[in-house]
Amino acid sequence: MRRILTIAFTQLRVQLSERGMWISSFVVPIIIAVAVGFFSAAPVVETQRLDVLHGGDPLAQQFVALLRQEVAKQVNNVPLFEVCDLSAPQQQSAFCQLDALSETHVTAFMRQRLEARQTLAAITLPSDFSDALSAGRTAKINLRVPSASFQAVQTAQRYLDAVVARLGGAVAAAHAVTMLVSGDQAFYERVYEQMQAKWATDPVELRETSSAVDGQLPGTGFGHSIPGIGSMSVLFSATALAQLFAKERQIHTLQRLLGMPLPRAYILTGKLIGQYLLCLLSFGVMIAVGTLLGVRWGDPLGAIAVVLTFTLCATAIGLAAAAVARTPNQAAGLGFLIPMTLAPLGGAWWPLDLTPPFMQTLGRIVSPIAWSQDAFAKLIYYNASVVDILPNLLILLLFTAAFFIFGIVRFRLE
Amino acid sequence: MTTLVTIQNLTKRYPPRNGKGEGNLAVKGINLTIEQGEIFSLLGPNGAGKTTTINMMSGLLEPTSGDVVIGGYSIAKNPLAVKKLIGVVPQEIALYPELSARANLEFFGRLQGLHGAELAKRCDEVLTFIGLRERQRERIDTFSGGMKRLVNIGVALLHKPTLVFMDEPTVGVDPQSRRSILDAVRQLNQQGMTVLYTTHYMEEAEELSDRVGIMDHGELIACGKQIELIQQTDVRDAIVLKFAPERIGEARQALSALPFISALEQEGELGDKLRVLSERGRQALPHIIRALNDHGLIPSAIQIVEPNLETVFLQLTGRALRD
Repeated sequence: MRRILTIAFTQLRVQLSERGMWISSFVVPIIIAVAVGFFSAAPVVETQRLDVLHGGDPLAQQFVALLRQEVAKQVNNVPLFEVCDLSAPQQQSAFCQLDALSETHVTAFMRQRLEARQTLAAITLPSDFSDALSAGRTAKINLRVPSASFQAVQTAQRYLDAVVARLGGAVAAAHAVTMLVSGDQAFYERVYEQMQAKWATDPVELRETSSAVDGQLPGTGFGHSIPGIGSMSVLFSATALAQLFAKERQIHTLQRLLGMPLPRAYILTGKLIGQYLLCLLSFGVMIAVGTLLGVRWGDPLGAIAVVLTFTLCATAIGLAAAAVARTPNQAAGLGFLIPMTLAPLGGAWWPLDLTPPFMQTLGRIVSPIAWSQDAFAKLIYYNASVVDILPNLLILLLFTAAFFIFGIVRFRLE
Repeated sequence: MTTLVTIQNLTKRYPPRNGKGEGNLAVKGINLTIEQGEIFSLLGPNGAGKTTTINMMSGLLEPTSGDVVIGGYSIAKNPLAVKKLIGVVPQEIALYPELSARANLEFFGRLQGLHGAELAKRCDEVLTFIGLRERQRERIDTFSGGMKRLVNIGVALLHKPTLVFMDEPTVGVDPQSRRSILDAVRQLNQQGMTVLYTTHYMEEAEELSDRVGIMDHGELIACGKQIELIQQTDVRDAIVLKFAPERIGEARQALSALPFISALEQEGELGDKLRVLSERGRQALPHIIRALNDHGLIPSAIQIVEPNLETVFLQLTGRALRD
């Protein structure tokens, strides 16, 4: 064991004495991770506007009131949304900034704010909203969002669905009962009020919780970019094993090692441990940088388990690459190709959820990064424990076993 | 003297590169013994099979057939025991250029099983022996070629091996470093180490060796003490004649007609010299001069060279050692 560790630590020392290794394993990944993190980071929590335009009829006003109730949720004591009623500009808060609104240009004003992204979404109710609902006709609500803003569509639609369910449900129920009992308008209005009161409290409540710790929001870009680029950087370090063996053959130190009175398995094990240590160091630096940037890694046991397992898997990939590459050029080519393929496929550069389903499937089949990233996401964003990520760890170990078996069968020290 | 190394029918055939054919037969059934305490040189031109032989003897290459027994251990059956007895100085510099001389020595010393105070002591001794103690903390990639060669040798000496393999250790070094290396080999031998030295420099083999094995095309074509080899091959003095370069062809033609001439080799930087081997040795000189005069040729210089390993090799193979 002593001689194995001698080989491992000397290899680490040799690699760390090369300036290029510091740049490729530490400096560049940190720069990329920080840049990607900033680029993809969620903005600082701030209130966003939801503009509503309607005809001022009672049900429309009730719609606005219900919408305000729906969006009243706050994160870190900051309201996420402010409903701005463009039909009653005088009664709105200063945040709505409706001073420039004139009655004649209200539609243009609404569109301008939308295009300037001063509002998350613009909702227009038809002028006969109340009449249509009272008469049992369908009232069409128009929802506009800034172009290509999927987040805005999803958010606004979610709130609208909730309001429409409450309002429409009450109207439908009132209609149904009135038709069954009397058909009298006054009776309809009484039933409607009762139904509205019943709907005031949702029978089913969706509770949203935040995994934010110490004032940090979940979903900052670093929570994805640091483990993602860290994993890629570990793959770069691991596949450098192929270049290391090619170089050692070239400078004849490998032949000298083979002439030493120790079994060949010791040499290979020492080299693998050395590379594993380099990968751990590389990932460790990224995790330290992430921690400084505010990433909270969740269950420490889980995070350590993912780092140890993924790094082992990356080392196995490095051995497989070393088994295939015989020349320094081949090793350099593989050392670039493998990380640059597995990283994007596995969601190191962007969340895998943003890619088409077939790419997600492909990524999970070919790239261990997909499983480490998923494990990190569960730990960072969903407060998962080490038990929750056991399937990820198991799959990473299966990848590890497959690459190790391939590497050991094919690898030749000579 | 006791026999330290016994090589029995050692053969190496490399696998064919494209998977077809039989592959290169690099070493052809060598049989050899090396006695404890001697310097044995394997002399031969590049590609003769010297390095392949050493690689098989040191366990780096698996023989196709045959075996090597060193200190009673078979390299095929007990390679680790053999590796503990030997120190290998490879032909190439096999050091980590990013590490210092001392760090390289410490690393390989640990792998040889040295630790702690013993390792430090041996590193000091070896650094003193190779004359690099003052520069032990400097990185190898800052060293000259000769200094690297010395560290390359030093690594093989750390564990005080019984037998040292030195595979062309002076290739590409300046004359001063070459002298240091040859002196070091002699000192090691005086300290009791057996040395197997491969070279294609005849002068080195002549200077160092107790016995010489001459290899060519994978075969050991002669083996013994220098004087024995010269006697065995019955070589005489060589006569070296110098001509104007444009007349060397004519001279070759004139001399090749003489019946007692056994070999003619053109040499010299300008190719303006003819080395003449004759059954009569120096006594053939008057006949040679007469034959040249008949063709109107007068040599600008004449030298009589005593027989040496070069002439032995030339006699045995019909080629010069450096061809």
